Amino acid sequence: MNKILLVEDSKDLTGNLSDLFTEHNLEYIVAGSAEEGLELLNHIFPGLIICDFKLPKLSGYEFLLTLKKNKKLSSIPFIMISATTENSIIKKIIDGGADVYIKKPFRNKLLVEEILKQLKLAA
Amino acid sequence: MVRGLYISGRNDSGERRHFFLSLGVELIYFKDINSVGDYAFEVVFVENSSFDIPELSGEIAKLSKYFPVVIDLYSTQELKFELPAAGLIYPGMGSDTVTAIIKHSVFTFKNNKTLHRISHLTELLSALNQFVKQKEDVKTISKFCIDYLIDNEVYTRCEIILKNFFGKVDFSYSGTQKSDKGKGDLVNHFANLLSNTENDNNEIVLSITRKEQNFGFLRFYLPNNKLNDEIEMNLLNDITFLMAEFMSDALKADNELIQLTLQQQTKSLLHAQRLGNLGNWVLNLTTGEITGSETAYDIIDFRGENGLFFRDIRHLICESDLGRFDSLFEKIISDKKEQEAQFCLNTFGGVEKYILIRAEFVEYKGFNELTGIIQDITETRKARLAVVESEEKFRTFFELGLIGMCILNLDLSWINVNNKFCEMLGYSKDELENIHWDAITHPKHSREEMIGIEKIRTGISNSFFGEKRFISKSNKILNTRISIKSVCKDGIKPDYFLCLVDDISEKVEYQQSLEEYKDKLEEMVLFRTKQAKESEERFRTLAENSEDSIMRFNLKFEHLYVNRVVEMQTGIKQHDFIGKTHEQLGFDKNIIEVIDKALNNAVLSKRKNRIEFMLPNGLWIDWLIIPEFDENGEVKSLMTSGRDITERKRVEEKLNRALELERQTSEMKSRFISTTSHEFRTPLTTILASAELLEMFSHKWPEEKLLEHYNKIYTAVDYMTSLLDDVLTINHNESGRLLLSAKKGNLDDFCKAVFEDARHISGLNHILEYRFVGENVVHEYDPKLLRQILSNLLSNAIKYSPHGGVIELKIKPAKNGTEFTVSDQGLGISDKEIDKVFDAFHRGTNSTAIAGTGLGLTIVKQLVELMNGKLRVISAPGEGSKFFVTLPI
Repeated sequence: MNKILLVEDSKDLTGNLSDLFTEHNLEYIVAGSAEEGLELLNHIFPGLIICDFKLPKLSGYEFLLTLKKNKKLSSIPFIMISATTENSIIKKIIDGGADVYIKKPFRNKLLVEEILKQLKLAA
Repeated sequence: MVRGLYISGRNDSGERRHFFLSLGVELIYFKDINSVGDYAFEVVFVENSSFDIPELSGEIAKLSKYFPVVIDLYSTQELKFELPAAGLIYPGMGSDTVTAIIKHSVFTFKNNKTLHRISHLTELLSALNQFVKQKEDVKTISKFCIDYLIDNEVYTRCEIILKNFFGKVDFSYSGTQKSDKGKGDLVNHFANLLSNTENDNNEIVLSITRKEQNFGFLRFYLPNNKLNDEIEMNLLNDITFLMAEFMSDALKADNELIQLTLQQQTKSLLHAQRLGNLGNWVLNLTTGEITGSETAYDIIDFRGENGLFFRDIRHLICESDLGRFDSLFEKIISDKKEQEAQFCLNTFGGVEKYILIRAEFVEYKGFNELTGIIQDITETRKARLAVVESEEKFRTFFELGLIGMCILNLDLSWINVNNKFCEMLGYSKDELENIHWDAITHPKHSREEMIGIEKIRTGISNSFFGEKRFISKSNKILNTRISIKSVCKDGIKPDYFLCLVDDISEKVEYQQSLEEYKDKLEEMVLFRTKQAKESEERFRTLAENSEDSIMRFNLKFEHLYVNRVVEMQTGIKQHDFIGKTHEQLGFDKNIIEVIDKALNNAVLSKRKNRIEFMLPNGLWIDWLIIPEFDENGEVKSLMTSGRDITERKRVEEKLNRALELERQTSEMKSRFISTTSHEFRTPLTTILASAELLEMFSHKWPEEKLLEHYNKIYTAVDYMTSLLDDVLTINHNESGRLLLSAKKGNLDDFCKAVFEDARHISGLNHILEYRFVGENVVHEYDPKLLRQILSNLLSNAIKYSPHGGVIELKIKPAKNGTEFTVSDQGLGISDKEIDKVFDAFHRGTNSTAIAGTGLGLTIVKQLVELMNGKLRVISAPGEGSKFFVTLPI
């Protein structure tokens, strides 16, 4: 089963996305920080990672770069969500290896479509 | 090497004369052509006026072995001779005969006008050129013009340039007049030339005139281009010596000769009587037979085999004398009176003799006879000729007119004076006879001269040279240089003086004008100096009264002058600056570097330079450097003017600081906007997600689930509202719209009310303590701003403190107003982050779980600053934080 790893510190957003994934029958696991996400990846191999750019301590970007250095983990599709509108940061994220970048606020439908597309591509 | 002109010829009396005219001054005389070879003449000039052709040819051949030969040709006979060495012949003075030349060539000269053709001229020129080329030591300076007669009528002029042909003599010959065919007596000719000398500084120019027509000039260059007094003196000295020597020699020779002649004559008389040197003779006019004494036969060295006849004698007589010889006898016969004459005679033995013949007509026994004597006068004649010659050559000098000359007795009475001397003094010869030397001597004549003359007179020395002032007839002072030399017949005791006088009036005048000029120059220099002094004084007056600092530097950057302002600005005494550089004065190294560079730039660029710099005492100086130039346009010194611009600089700095602040603010604003927009997106994401979920799934979700999402939306909206309020507060403050409006009130009461509001937020979760220290009096403060400060700090304390934590608000009087302290026992702030807590949207890494805009402390800080207060924080993670606010209330 292709689980989604959601790395997000905002409880409000996590709650909303949990509801969304449940309604679309998407299995997921939540990590409240990048460090927690990395710990989880020692045990699971998700089909997709969704990560917030702004995280306490280790940022979403640093988390992405760490994954891409790992041969095994670098193959997992990666969706970065962020409130930033600065093109330089967006470019950095894409160059860093993220497959999709979604800007906050976003429509649920769009996120679900991207999730399904990435899971299908990876399958 | 003697250089000059050799002149040879015969005078009208048929006497041979040889002269050597050297360059300018020397005149060498020699009797025998054969001694010419002892001299190394550059050029020999031969006049052939009375030469017969073989003689001329022989002489030229001899001369041309040594030097180029110049011949004055006008012979009507055909000339033919060979020049064995480099000999050059060209038309002499006044010759209308064309000649040409050269080495190892045989030329035929004819007085044939058909030769006077242009082609011949070309030939001549090319021959001359070739000659000049061949002989490298013959260099060309002379311009040489020849008039050519073509077809008896047309004269054409050719100009030949012979450089250095006469050594230093520039020989120029020109003329367009029809040449004179007559014989030229070159000696007279040159005497003429020399008398017309114009004396210049470094050359003697001799005009060449012939029968009052100007032919050109001879220019003699004296040894140096610039003839200074010393050289001239030496020259004069030399001339005098030469002439005196010559005269002494000549006189001695004359004396000896005369003595000798007299002795000889006496002797010969005795001899004649004893040995029959004076012969008697009788001529039978009928038979023509002569009978004579033994002496008579000896004299003519002929007896005749069959008796001696008149025709034999006649045959011995020189051809040139034959006419006179015949006419003497004719006259004696016709006049029947005793007559005598001298003739030249050539014996069959080849000896030339001069004889005196005296005869008278006698009628004896019906026979007509001539009886007479014959005397050999060869020796006598020689002696007499020598005297004549000697006299003549002296006369030539004497009347040359190059220089004033006089011959004086030992008592300084005149023996003779030359024309030049008379001319100089303005007296005629006759007039001078009655005037003594002393009478024409300036009263202030030098003692030196008197001593000098006395020395010569007594034989201690033989010459004197010096300057002398004569008084001319017109009472003018004549400045001369004189040279006096004794002439001694016996070579021991002086007989008389020879004095040469050179007019140097012009030179003295020149010197005077030079001195006048020098005086003028000095006057000018004095004037300039005075001007410079005045301008210097003006400068000082201006500089001393200037409010700017004025300095002057030399090119070593040593101070030449500083004004009072410099002393005031630096604290160094004015006079201590002089002669010292900034380094020697102990200025700061950095300033010296700046100053010296600026001064250097002004020197190198020769332009004004301007810099600004700060003295160690904080004074800012605007410094203008102006280079000052010497008369050659080179920088000689630097003048500087400095103005105190400290005030201006302060304003400028303030302005710069304001501009920097403005820049920072604007940068912060743009960062703030970017961050703010980002902060708004997060709650918007929540609202959007919840709204969409509600839209999609509200129909199947239970009531609690719906409420949860509605609440999320409300919370997010609340958060956004508070965020917006904070942003607006900051923005108002930054745009200056948040104005202070202080009101009077009870501070304790006011603070207590704010504190109570906070307690309301906290609920019962924390322990809140309030303390007010000091007098409870009326204070003046802006309640709106103070409330915002205190409530922000209190709400933060509550937010970040765990339940049960103690939160305290303490108010106490401080040095500059009132201090408010808000302390908690909450999360605390790490050292790393403590500097950032007041930055907009900064949130502690340990505070993410707690809602907040990250603008609270930013607002507090801004408000405190607005109220001119101070804010500081003490904190450590896990130990809580203490915020101190000091406000001037």
